[in-house]
Amino acid sequence: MEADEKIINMRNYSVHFKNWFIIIGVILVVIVAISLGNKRSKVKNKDLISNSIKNLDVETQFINSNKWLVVNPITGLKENYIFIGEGKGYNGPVKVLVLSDTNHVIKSVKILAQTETHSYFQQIFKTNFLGKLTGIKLSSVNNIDGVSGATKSSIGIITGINLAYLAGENIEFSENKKIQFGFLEILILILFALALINTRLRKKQYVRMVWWLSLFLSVIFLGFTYNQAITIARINSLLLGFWPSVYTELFVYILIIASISSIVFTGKNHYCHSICPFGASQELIGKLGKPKIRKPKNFKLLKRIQWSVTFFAIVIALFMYDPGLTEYEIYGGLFKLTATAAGFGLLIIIIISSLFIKKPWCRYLCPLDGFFKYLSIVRKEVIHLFK
Amino acid sequence: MFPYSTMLEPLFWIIMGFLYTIFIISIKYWAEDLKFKLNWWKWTLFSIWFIVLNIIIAGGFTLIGENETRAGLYFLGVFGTSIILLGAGLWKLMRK
Repeated sequence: MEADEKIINMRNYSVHFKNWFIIIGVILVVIVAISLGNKRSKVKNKDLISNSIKNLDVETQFINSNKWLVVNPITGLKENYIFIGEGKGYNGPVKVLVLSDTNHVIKSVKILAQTETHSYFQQIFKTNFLGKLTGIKLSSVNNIDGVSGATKSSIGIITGINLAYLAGENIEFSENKKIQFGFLEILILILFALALINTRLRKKQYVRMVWWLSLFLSVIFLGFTYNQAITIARINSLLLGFWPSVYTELFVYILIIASISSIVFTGKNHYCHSICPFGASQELIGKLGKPKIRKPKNFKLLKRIQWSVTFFAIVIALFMYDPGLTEYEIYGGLFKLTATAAGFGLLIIIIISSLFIKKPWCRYLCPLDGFFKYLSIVRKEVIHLFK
Repeated sequence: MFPYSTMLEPLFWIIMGFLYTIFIISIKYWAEDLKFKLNWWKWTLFSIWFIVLNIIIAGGFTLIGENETRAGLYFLGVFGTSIILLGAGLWKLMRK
């Protein structure tokens, strides 16, 4: 009996040791990746502006760090201005270079650097958004509409141009400091409230009813209307310090804080269960078929591969200082018909397999599964520490 | 070469017609074999589904044939997936 107890204790110790190894190891690797990425980006940024002006092959005079004057090399007369600025996109900063005439009318716009998701940012070029900015006065660029399917990126470009102009001309400006608390914020709070209520309900019938209501709300609004699921790019950008504005994007904070809190305080992953719009879509598609929870023999190994892929995807993105670089989710393909060809292919496979397998994306591919698993390990070990 | 060949093209359509005939005749027996209780509206729904499925396949491959490969693949991807999902739903409905 004593020997058995000893073996159990030994096993427990090895499990806790393994967990702490994962917790500390992940934190250390992430910190190293962030600092290396930060260092690389500083070197890259330093050369970026000087190189991009050199590449224009014009004679320039430095006015301030946002504005350059282009002069005619023969007559020496003022010809154009160059403005360089930075706006906030979906994943991080969007750096733009604007060439304008002496009356501040835009002649061309060039993207110097961006960290947006490739498939979304392609919409900017497909719709010739940069070309449409030609001929517009810099002072009225704020009135331009964004591109549907790449709203945040296009707004980032507009803001970048506007900030470049204002800073270049030494015009004072202040950020809009009014918190926008609208439908999306309320919806996310309602979804989390429904998830919490559901844990208190006793009748199975009501539990299912509330759950289905959450799924429908999530798919319709969080998915098809706003396309606002938590993505790996969002996590990367938060880790890299590209925090969205609290005033205009409060919903991001609510969504992430509530998702993390639900795991930390209740130990339950409400986000994946009833709030994620892609998970909800798979549940709804599954209603058309007969999905089963399939546990293959090597299920544990598959899960470890899934979590490792997430970890490496995050580390690579942090090291490259590009949050959208390793984003491999396919939500955009379903909700906004925006994805790469491979993304669309994978989406079709996932949709069709949802008829036979219960939430195949969540079970075998979703990067958030690893992220939330990590949080639950931290929770478990911290609780154990204070027991 | 097919599809412009004077010999192969009619032959292809003869074979297609033959296969369609067999398929349509077989449906009734297949449904009986699967113990589906089919009434008039279930048959109507199935017919509509089958016609739409044919239109999607024809439309997608016509686009590919017209050198609009990308459009054809997207067409097949979006509408093809939707019709498969509807088919799964219809199957469930027909079993009832």
